[in-house]
Parts: sequence; structure tokens; C-alpha cells
Amino acid sequence: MLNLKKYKNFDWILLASAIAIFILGLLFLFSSTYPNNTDFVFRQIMWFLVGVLALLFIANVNYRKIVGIGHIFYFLTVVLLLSVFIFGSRRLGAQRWLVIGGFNIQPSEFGKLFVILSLVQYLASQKKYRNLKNIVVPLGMIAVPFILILRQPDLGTALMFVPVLIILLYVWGLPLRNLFFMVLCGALFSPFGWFLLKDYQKDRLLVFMDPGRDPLGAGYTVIQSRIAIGSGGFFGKGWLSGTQNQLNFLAERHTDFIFSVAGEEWGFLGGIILLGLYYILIKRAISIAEKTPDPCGKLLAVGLATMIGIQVVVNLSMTMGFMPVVGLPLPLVSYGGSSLLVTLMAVGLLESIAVHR
Amino acid sequence: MRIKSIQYSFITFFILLGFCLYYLQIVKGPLYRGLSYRNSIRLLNITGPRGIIYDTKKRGVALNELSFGVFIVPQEVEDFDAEINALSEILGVSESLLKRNYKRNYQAPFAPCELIRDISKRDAIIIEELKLDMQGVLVKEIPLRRYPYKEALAHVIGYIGEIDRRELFSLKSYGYRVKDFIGKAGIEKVADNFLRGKNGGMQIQVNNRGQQVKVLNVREPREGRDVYLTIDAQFQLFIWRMMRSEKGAAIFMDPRNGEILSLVSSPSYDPNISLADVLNAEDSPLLNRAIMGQYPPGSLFKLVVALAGLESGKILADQSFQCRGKLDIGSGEFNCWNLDGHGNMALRDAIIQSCNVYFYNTGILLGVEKICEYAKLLGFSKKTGIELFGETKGLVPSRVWKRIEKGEGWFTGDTANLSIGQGYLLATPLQVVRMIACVANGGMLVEPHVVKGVGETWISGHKNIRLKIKKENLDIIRDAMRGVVEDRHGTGRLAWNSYVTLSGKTGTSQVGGDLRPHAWFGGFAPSENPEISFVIFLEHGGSGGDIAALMVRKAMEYWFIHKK
Repeated sequence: MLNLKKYKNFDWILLASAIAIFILGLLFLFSSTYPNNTDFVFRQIMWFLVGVLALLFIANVNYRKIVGIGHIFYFLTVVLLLSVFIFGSRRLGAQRWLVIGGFNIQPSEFGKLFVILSLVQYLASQKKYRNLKNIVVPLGMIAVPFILILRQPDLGTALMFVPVLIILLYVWGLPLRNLFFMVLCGALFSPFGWFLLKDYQKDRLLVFMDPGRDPLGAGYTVIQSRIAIGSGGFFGKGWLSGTQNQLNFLAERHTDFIFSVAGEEWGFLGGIILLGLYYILIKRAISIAEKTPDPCGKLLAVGLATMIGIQVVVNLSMTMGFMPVVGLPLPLVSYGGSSLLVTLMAVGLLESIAVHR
Repeated sequence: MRIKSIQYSFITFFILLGFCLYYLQIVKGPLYRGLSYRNSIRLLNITGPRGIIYDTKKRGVALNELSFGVFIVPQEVEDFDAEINALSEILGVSESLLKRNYKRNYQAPFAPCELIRDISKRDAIIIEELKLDMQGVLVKEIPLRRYPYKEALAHVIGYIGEIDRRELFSLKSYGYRVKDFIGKAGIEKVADNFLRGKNGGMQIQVNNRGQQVKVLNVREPREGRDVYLTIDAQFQLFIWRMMRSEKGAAIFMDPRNGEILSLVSSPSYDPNISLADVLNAEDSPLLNRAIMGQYPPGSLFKLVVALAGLESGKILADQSFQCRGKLDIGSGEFNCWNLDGHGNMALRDAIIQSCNVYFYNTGILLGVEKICEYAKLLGFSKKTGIELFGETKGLVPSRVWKRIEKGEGWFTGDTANLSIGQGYLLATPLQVVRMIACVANGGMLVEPHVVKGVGETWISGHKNIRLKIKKENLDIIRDAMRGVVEDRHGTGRLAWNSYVTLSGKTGTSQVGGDLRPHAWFGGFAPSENPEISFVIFLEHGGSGGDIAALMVRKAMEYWFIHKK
């Protein structure tokens, strides 16, 4: 089964950039949970090792087989999300986690990947755009997990499906005027979405418009995060020396807001290095899409690149206060096993596409 | 190709993110750095102890006494209400008072917040023993300003109080801060800059809940400098006890150098307790009559007129005038206090018996301008320059002054009134005692002062002005003043005593209406070689030869028995 010849196409730079990002992230995590950090760091490393195993395994398997059972993954996603709804554990006011064998699993994270797989499966089965059905089916496919995730509530993850779908349709070859029409309809419909939002989500959007609105409540996280990043300056305050971080002014700083710790302690220099590494990762993913002749592989590679890239862009923008706060983790860096595992699985899929030309 | 365009949009996004980062960290970096610094650094003030005020014999007259205060450290409290309740029971004060103080004095979670001060030692021990049950409560020693001489020295020392908004505004640049204590009157106010300790501080790093994480920096506070007064506190106390049943002022001064030995104003107030009650009291206990009160000096001013007459050559010592109990001037009739008339008398007897008619004549001979000239020469109508706040100038009238203020010309009758220290003339007791000291010391106008030294430094360089007055003329006046006390007819003979030779002059200034006149007695002792000069002024105290003279006698007996 293990055919070494296959690995001449293995993208080592992709893997290296992922590992480099993870190691940097581990340093941020160490600092943001200091001094009671052994547990966090240990768990994160453990999930990383699991993730790397999954990565290597998936890289070995032909991605076409995996895409071929996309509908099963889709089915699994819906089942998991429904069971979160029924058995899920509540934390921080949201019901996002399933406890399986002592581990906290966040099905919506897996949903990101699995829904992409099923979308790719459907789109690859259709040679080209024929009628409206080709748009309606994918829309219906994301609608179910979208609503389930929105009700958790997890606005960020739910919203992520939208740009992913648009980009997939775009790469798949949907005529531009159909795409425009679709986006236009969505844009017209979106104000009604306001009524689907929970109060705290409305607060976040309002606070984004006017951060001074509630400086100790919803605005606090963003204001303190901005202060932390801004105060880092060019070189940062040094590892474990960020006052905003170490003195507890930052909320959620080991998960979604971990970049505020990075910005404070590592400064502009650290931020640019991190951005550069992410850029390399995404650039490699897209070149895998370009190099593979298989339309299915192209679709999947772009979908995965988009999944990672959008999370990076959205997470950094909201941490810096240039976007409303929606809960999206920073891939490979934020603390959380599900997100880390899913990202590494995505890298594995990318490697599989590279290997199985 | 569509895939390429995806890549380009990601490049665009990443470059945008880079710019955002640049904007936040480089462009706005200094701003956010300042904000993060302020987030986590707090300053805690530590007040330095105030300097002590000593009298001339190094008796403390304004001290820092240690008293016990109960404090609470907010971040260590477990059950606030229960602890307040317990404290209220031990101390016997209401919970609402403690809570009110807590709210008023709260600074930060880590800063001990004063709940109550000046508790008894017994209560302090009880709380100290129960401390384990009351998390965050602590008993601290706090310096409390004490004035052991209470009312007796209040007008000299003054008192301290929390800085008010106006003071803070004007003194901020000198390092005064909110909640600082500052001198409000007297020496406490004048020498506040020396007395106040140099504040220290602690720089503390706090976390998001404002709790202390660690101490970054400590600057120890420094003690204020001590102030030494020229006052003899025991003597002052004696004078105060004598004066407190009257309204008025008494000043005792060393005529050789202007050192004030005692300065009493009555009524007075106790600076140890709240001043709320005395602020609006009708007999104005806060008014320092010795330096702020302006009164007609009455017959004491005859000394000035006599000196002016002799110096200007208008009269000689043997010049005599006939007193028939009154003198017709213009259309008016001016009385002598002795309506039977003193008969024919020369200057010495005129002073001894305080004959008004003699001085009407002398004054008219001199004219208002000459009288004013000598009054001003002897320090009237200008401040003496004593260190205490609020000194007033008094008033020496003149033709121009009357034209402007009263809208009429100067009459000879005005000159007559001025000649016996009545009419428009006003002087502070301090100005009067300085004039007397000038006579006593042979013509030197001293600068009265109460501060002898600050810290290690003795104050020198007081402006003592030697006046161009002939010694023989002063001798004539002094001889007459001795007669006032020693002569059989002297108006001040009640002041005579067997301990020390005494010279003086009585005064009884009319105040109009049915009110009793003000009583004055000014003088010096010993007559041959004066080392103390004085004035006693009693508001509506009747004749200067009565109570005032008896007080002088008692004071002189005390001084010359007790001085070492």
C-alpha cells in the first residue's frame, strides 16, 4: 500500500508551513494560559499528534474515494449536529460540544470539512451548469447544517458556508451572471436574517458599529484586544511579558482571541511572520488545485484553501476590531482539538490531491 | 483563470491585514501602549508626617499624635456586610456611617480604605484580636494633628483641614493633591509649605479586576520640617485664661527684636474639634482680633501726638495748657474725661492723667498733617508684616481722605478728635503694641513676628527700622508713662506691682451709642530697660484703668516670676 514513489509529489512546504504555524501557536498558547498551562499545552500537543496521524493517513488514501462517500459525511454531519442539539453540553452560553469518551468534540468544526466534501461530490458529478437545480441543490445542502449551527448558536461557523459555497460554484464554472444573480438575491434577503439572530449576536454587531457602546460588556473584549495588539508595537513586549495578557485583561485569549496575545508579545514582526506563513499555506493549497488535472481535485483543493483562508482573515480582522466579533478560531493556533484536527485533516486531503494526480 | 483570481483575492486580503496590523501597532502603537500601561499601573499615595510646631521653649504646640483607625482592603474582603456589621457592634457606630465612609474613601481594591478614625485603644485591640474572622480588616496607626493648648493658641497656630477645590486649583503645581491636608489658618497655613511632609507613593501593578499583583516601586515619604515659634506657650495659656471671659486681644512682644511672646484673641476656638459650630457664631471666634480687628486706639494715641509735638518743636516738655473740663472748638464743645477740669498742667501730667484738653490744644497746634505724618512714621495705617494671615491696615484719616470718603472738608473738631485717638482713626492692637515698643526701645520700629525658625534654619533679617526721633523726647514720654503707673494720679496705677517697674498708658475709646467704651492698656517693663512690651485691648471693656490694668499687673507678675 505504501508506495514511496507516490511521495515525489508530496508537498513538503505545505506540511512545513502548517507545522511552523502550529509551533508558533503553541508558544502563544503557552503564554496565554501561563502559569497554569500544562494541561492546555499537553492537550493541544496530543490533538496535534492525532491530527498528524490523520493527515498522513488521509494523504495516503486517494481523495476521490473520500469525495465518493461525501454524502455519508454529510449525513454524519447532520446526525452529529442534531445530537449536539439533543445531548450537547453547554458552555459559555452555547451548546456546541459533544462529550465522546471524555473528549469534547465540536461537530460544527467537522461540519465545515464534511459539508465541503459533500458539496464537491455533488458539483463534481455535474459536468456543467444546466439549470437552476444546480444552484438550488447545493443551497439546500448547506441550509440544514447552516440552521442547526446558527441555533447553537454559532454565527461565525454558520456564515462560513456562504463564501465557501460561492467560491465552489465559481470555481466549478457557474456562469458569472447566475452567480451575480444568486449573490444579489442573498444580499436582498440578508436584512431579514437580523431576526434570526440571538440578542447577544445583535449586540456584537451593534458594538462593532460603536465599540464605546458597552465598554465593559460586549465591547470589552474587542477594546482590550485592540489595546493589546496596538501596544505591542514593532517588536512586541516579549514572550510572557504582555501586560494585557498576563494581567488578565484579555478574554477568550487562548481560543478565538489568541492573536491579541501574539500581537502584544510578538509585535508587528510576529504578526507579519504569522501572516506570511498562512499565505504560504494557502498559496501551496491553491497551486495544488492548479496542478491537478482532475476537476474534482481542483474543486476540493480550492474549497479547503478557502475554508482555512477565510477563517484566518475573519479571525484576524475581528481580533483587531476591524470586523464584528463572530466566533471563528485561528486555524492551527487557537486552542481546541476539533478545529486543529479538522485543519490537519484538510491539509491531509490537500496532500492526497497532490500525491494522487 | 478562476482559480488564479481566488489566489489574488487572498493576496489582497492578506496585504490589507498587514496594513491593519501596521496601522494598529506602528501608527497607533504609542497610543495603545499608553492605554495598556494605564490599564495595569496604579499609584497609591503615602502621606509624609507633618512637621511639629514648637514654642520658644520647645514645648510642642501642634503635634502628631498616633491614633488608631480601622481600614478595610476591598480585595481581601469575604463578606462585606457581615464585617461591617461586626465592626459597627464593636465600635458602637452605625453601619451606615461606616458604609458612607467606605464609599467616600474608596480608592482601589488594593488600597486600604479608611472606615473610621480615632478609635479607642481598647477597641483597636479587640478588632486586632478578631482580625482572623474579618478578612481584609486592619487597624492602622494614623497621625492625628493635636493642639494641646486648644483655644489658647488657636489664633496663632490655626488648624488644618482637607484641601478644598479652590486651594487645589491654585496649589496643584506645588504638588498638592486631592484629599491632602493643608493649613487653613495661622502658622499651619503660613508655613504649610515647610510643615507638610513630602508625599511618597507606591507604584502598583494590577490585574483586570484592579487587584494588586505586585509592587513595582516605592518612594518613601519624608517628614515635614518643624517650626519654632517665639511664643511662650505657658505664658500664652496664662494670658488666655485671664482673657477668655472677655472679648478682645492681648499681645506681648519683645520690644528689642519684635518677637511675639504671646498673642491672644478672645473668643477663640478649639482647633482639635470640628469648626462647624464656630463658623457662624455671632461673636466671631475665628476673627483674630489682635491683627484683624480695627479699633480707635483712644488715649494710647496721645503718645503719638505728644511725640509729634516734641519732635516738631510745637510744644516743649514744660508747655502747659489750662484744662477746665472742656474746650470750645468752632461751634462745638469738646470734653475732657474729667469734667471738673485738670487745671493748668504740663505734658508729663497730661499723659499721666490722660488730659484730653491738653491734647486738643497740642493737636490743633500741630495740625492734621503733622499728626498723620508721625502716626504713619510710627507704623499706623500699614501692615506690620507679621507672618499671620489676614492682617488689616487700620486707618489714619487726612483732609484728602475725608473729602473723598465723606464728601466734606476737614474741621478743626476732627483734628481734636484725632488728637485723642478718636474719630476716624483705626488701628489694630498689633500696630499699637509696635508703637509702644518703639517708644520703649528708643526709636526702633520693629517687625513683629511669631516664627523663630524652620527646621534647622533660624529666621533672621527682620526689617527693624530706626526712626529719626530724638532720644531726649522719647525719655520724656517714657518718664510720663512710668508716672501713669507709679504716680498717685496715674490712670494706670492699678497695674502697679512689686515685682517689676512698669510703664504704660491707658486708653478708653468711645464707641458711640450706649455701648461701653473699649478699654486699652499699653506699656512695657521693666521701665529702666524694657524687655517686654504689651497691649491689652478689651472690646467694650470699660475704662482702660480698670480690668485691663489689673490684667496687666497679673501678666507682668506672672512673666517676671516665671521667666528664668
